[in-house]
Amino acid sequence: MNCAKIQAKLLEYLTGELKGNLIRSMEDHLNTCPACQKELMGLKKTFWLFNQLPPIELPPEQAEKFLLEVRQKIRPQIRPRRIALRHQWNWLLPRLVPALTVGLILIFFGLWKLKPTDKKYAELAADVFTSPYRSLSSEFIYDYFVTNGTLDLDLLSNIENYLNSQQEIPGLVEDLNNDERTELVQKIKEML
Amino acid sequence: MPEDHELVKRFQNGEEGCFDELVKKYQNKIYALAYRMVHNSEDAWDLAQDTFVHAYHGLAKFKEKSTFYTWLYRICINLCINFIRLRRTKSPPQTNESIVMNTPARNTPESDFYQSVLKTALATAIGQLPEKQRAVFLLRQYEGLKNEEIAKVVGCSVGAVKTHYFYAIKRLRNLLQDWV
Repeated sequence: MNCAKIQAKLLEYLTGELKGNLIRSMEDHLNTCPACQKELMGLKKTFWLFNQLPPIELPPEQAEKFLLEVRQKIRPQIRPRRIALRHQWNWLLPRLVPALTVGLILIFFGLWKLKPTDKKYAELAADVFTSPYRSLSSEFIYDYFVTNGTLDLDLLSNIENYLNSQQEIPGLVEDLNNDERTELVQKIKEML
Repeated sequence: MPEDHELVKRFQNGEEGCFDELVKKYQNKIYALAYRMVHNSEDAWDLAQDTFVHAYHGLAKFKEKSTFYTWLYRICINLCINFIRLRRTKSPPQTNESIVMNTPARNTPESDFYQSVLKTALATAIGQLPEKQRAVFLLRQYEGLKNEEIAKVVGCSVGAVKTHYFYAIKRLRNLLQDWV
């Protein structure tokens, strides 16, 4: 190793961070190189200077005062019980809040999807009342509304009363064959 | 005296007195570190106290991924670095001229005079190191922390700690060349 490499490693040599082989080659070089010896000596003197600073310690009366002032600076409303509770809930709260939020969103959209809006509800009712197939049984109406996610007992009762008072309409099968609402038509056919 | 992790655990479970034990145990070290960082006893006093106030409020979240004292040192170093940066914006840093201005009166006994001047020169030289270099140097030289611990305190790699330390020594040697 040349002087530049040796001098770059002097700090690690002095602080005992070098491994065996490297220490030996450093020492071999240092024994024969006055420039690197001088550099090492300068570094040792620098460390000697660092050690001339006296240790810094608070005098005993200051130490007591220190703790009292720390206590005064700590906000009095935070009591240890609260801290303990906060610690216990600490892991749960960050997970609970997003989980509840997601849950609420899912519930909201789920209900929104399951329960027809007022408009859809009105359309369903109108569909039944204006249908030429109003002689169909109340079971069908029940199925129809349940399948579509709506079960209003008052409405069902009204529909049943209405249908019971009506006559059977001729030409029902032909009409059904021409109807494009496949699912509805299929249900009605099954009921016939 | 109980171990740090035991005191921390008990404090987290509501034993307020355990925090006082931790303060008593570390107040000297934290004050010394703050003093050497900012070289002013009043500021060091406040910064050391603020370190414990921050620790009090953060202790509930402390999960012992690091040791308590490295965590405490980290709080202290961060507060000191912020303080130094703030102070620098308010007033320009001290230059070499101020070393002369800060030297004590000549009528001090010789050894005390020498010690006092050396202390001032050293403190001024340390004060001229960039904040991270200063922190690394002080933690290693005066707190005896290992490179791995310093890396956690300062928030950098072990390699970066070694580099900071190397350049800190190099710079201090240049600044103190009249003394060596």
